[in-house]
Amino acid sequence: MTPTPVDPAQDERHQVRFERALDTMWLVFQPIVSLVTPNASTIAYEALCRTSETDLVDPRELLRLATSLGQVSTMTRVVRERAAEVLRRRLDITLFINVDVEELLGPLEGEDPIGEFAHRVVLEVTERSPISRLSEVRVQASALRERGYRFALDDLGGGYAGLSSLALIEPEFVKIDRALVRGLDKEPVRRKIIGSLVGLCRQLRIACIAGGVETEAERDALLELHCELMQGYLFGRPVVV
Amino acid sequence: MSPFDSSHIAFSDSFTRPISLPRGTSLGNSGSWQSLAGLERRALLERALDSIWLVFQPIVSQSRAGEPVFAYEALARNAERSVANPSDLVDLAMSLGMIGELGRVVRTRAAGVLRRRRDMTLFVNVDVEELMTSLGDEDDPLAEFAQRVVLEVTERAPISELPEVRERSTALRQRGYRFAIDDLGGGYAGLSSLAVMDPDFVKIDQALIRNVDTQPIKRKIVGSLASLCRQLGIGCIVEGVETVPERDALAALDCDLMQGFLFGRPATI
Repeated sequence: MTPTPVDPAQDERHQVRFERALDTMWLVFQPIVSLVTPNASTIAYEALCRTSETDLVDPRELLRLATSLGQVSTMTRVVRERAAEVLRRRLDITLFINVDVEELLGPLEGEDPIGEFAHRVVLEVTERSPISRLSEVRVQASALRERGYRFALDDLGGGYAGLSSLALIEPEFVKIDRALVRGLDKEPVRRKIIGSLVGLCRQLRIACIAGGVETEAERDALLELHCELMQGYLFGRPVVV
Repeated sequence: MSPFDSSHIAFSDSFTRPISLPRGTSLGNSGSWQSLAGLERRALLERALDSIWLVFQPIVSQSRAGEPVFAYEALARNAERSVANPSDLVDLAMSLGMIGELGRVVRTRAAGVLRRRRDMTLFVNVDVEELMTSLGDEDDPLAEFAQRVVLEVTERAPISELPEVRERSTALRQRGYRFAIDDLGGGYAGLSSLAVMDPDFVKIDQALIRNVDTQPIKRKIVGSLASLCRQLGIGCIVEGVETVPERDALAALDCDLMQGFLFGRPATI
């Protein structure tokens, strides 16, 4: 992050927006389905946060703001508290919860709200920039794994998420970037790339989830490549549960 | 060139006095260019551009025993300490909107070498943004040598977010240029860039090569990338090879083209 010049008045305004956003935050859930059997069955949900602050609708914007205010851990706590409510109510569901690499490294103060549900939580790691503190990430990931958490690497093959992170985190799941999935039924190169990722994941015993599946043609092409876990509008938009 | 690229630790011609430091290293008295005002920045960039020289690191083929050198990668060095790291120089030029000027100086120097050395193929680093500059002009210094030039594209933002890249790379390819994608599998270079750019070569990120001989997971990843490249008809280059066991492990994965200190440091030719 490039430090931005400090202007106290502006900081104050950002702080107010940030707090309003956290106060109004709610979670929506998008199903992740398995097509191993012909009828799609939901194996888990990805939790996505929403706020009613109109300029912070994109969760990445909210995270950017939290980062610039140095309050990522505050945001993490609110998201986890909301997630814990759902995990407590719905004993049958597994949740994928997005965490930024930086979040992974900054331990929460106090008790982790989702700690008691760790076995039903998959921490979905998003990279916004190349992971720099490599050894710390590795140590932190194995400590969390011991508490029962599993890991997913988000957007594999996409902009930022490198295969080197695969070697670093050794996740249980990967999500193949939607930019690769889009239109794969029409583009042989994309099919070969995805086929190769699926094969690699199988060798490494990592379950592979294709993100952003929107059409039946995409779904069928993925099945031909033996990618059987999917997420996308074709199977359900993010909704409240 | 990735931030992990140890070749950024450049050496003067005598290889004794380090003139460049890895990104993020304190520059001591020389200070940071970010603190300079516009005019001073501009003066710094101009001094840096005036002092630019190129060093060359060999890319060798394991299967061509007689003449192992397949090509060279050109790396820019300059005498200004505060921007001695090539990625800092790019950042400085970027901040002044002068990436085109920087690229042109590098390409002029590269053309000089290509004119002198008729047998040489050169990998020239270009930033994605630079593809949109005068690089495509007919009177560009590299244009007459295009057949011997591989444009090595470094991504500082995901290529898939730049829709015009595909068109531009097609136009440049028609002029004779070939393309390489730098740091594949690493920080920024996603596999989707393979679909967007359709490169002739890829360079596998050094972070995946380091200790590939002792880490099975890295062997599987590199093996899988190498085999994907074969399927797509893309030449695969492994970078940052530093030890004999690394070389042997990579050769066992059918990697033929290699680059790294084991085969030669960046040097003047």
